[in-house]
Amino acid sequence: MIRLEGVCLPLPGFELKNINIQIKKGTHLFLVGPSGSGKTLLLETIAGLHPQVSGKVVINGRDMTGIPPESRGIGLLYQDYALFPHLNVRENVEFSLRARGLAEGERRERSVPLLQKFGLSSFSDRYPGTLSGGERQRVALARAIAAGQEILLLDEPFAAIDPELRSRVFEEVADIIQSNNLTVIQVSHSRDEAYALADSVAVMMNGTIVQAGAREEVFSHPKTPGIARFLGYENLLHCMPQKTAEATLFLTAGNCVFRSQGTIEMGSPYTACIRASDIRISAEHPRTDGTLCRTCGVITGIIEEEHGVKVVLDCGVPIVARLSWNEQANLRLYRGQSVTISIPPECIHLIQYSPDDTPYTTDNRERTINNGYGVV
Amino acid sequence: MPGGILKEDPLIEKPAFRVPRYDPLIALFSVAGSLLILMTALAILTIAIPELADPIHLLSVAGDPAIATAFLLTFSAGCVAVGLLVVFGTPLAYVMNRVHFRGKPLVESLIDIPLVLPHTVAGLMIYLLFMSRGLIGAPFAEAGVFFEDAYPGIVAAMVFVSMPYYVNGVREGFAKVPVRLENVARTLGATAWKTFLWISLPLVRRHIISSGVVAWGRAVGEFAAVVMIAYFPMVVSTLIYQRFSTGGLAESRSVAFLMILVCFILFFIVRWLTHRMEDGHDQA
Repeated sequence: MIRLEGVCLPLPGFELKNINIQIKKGTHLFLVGPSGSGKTLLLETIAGLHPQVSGKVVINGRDMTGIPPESRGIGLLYQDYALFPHLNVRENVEFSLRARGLAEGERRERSVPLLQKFGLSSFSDRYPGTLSGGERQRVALARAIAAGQEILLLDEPFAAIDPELRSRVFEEVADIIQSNNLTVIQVSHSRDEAYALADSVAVMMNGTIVQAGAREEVFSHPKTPGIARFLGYENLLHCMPQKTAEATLFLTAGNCVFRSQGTIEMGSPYTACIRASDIRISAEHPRTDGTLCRTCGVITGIIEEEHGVKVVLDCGVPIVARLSWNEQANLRLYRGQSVTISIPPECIHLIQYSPDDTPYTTDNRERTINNGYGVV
Repeated sequence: MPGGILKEDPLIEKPAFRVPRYDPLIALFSVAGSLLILMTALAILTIAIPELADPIHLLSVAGDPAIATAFLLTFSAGCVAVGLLVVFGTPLAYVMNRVHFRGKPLVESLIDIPLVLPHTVAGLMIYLLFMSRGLIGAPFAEAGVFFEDAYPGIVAAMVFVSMPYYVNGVREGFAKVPVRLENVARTLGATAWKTFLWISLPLVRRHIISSGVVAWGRAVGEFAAVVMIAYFPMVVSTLIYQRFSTGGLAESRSVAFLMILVCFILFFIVRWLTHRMEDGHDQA
């Protein structure tokens, strides 16, 4: 288990602030957050590369204060894999064994099965400069595994791989992690990667962890609009609850009315977080039925994307929806068209509104949340 | 090499393409640059032609034991100076690249100051520091090591004037070694010392060699700083001055030509070897 207790790292122009988190053994934690939020710095701090840290890094019950990186049993993989360019593949993989003082014969004995396992035997004499992105990644992983580390810190390991190769590499990495029962903390910008690999997710902003928890919990219940925006909620609508005889309805700032689930505090404003892909569009007239609230809007823009179209609507407030190519082919939406939108209640995540809530900033409430341990 | 793959220097950035020689801009730059080359070539020729016209005199000068001694002394002192720079300058270059500290610009200025000082001033500083009553010279004198008019004084002067060439060159080399490589090496179990020896140092090997050669060239060419602390034993530059003062132009010119010849051959060999290595990498 990895436990961070009040970890702070002041550096010129940036600092890690009061980081508290527990990561259970065998967990694959994704550390996500905007660029410059301190994710890589946190990995390096856990690895012991910044001795000026305050607070505690506890690994398997042992306080790592003052323990140098080489004695922590933590492997670190950077985005560019940081292979030693003057050493060939075999020498890279054997580096940790050499550092431990193993004789050449013993090093060879241990590295051969690893090279075979990772499919590196045929080019073990080649140098990193001659390898492809996928090959380099395998070498870096083999090198980390050879060290026998139980904890692996991955800093955007898939960023440098071609998109076609990425899904295959996802599977390979997942296999390696599972078969070696590794505890992994992985930095990523990609929500797809997190969905595919993560057991749990921690969101970092402005040098601190603002939310941590199980993957589904974090993705479906972001604690602040800033986190929601980062996690892919394109629509953040300020709204007021209105009680009706039938159900609790919410009125947005515009003419958009929709129904939601959960316990609501009346008289208190909320931010409704809605993913663009959860908004349905139809050409029917607006009406209310048992499950959905429908409201009308006018299409102000249609932007073609890789997997479909992004539709920008004016419903009194700007709303963004996403449709697949098939849906667009059926609906034949066009700019200026009046349409009806509907949002399933379970797709609306409500956060009590605060004037301080701005995307990608740490507000007071986020700091309060961070005062307790996020156990993942 | 196993696998038929040539070992690449990871710090060499290959140009994406070669500029064609007939490019008008390159032609213009080549003409402008040629003026400098021409000036150097003419300077060498003005010494070389009269010397080569009188080979008997040249051979007699070359066979003079005093001259052979001066050459040996100069080159060996240069090698010792570079050796000291490797031992003390390499760690300094590493710290200057890797560590940010208050007062760093001051330290940088101290490293660079031999570049801007008149060498007579450098010689005076060295003399005052290393003379028998000097801050460093006094304790050494008590131990029986003297710098005035002695081999250690020549080495001290050479180290002082060539230090910025070595330290700044190697520092540039360390700047090209990503800190990430060192970080990863540490997490793989290497101590800080092993990381330096196994990762950082091999990756700046080329910079150490090239900066060492430049520093050596600067050291063996030094006159003013050396002569202030050690007129005797005579290094080549002092000998040339002495021959010029006592025997005139013809006497000093022969020694100067020999110095040019030896240095040119040495630097040509170093450059040729460097180019050969780079060509090897290009074919990899």
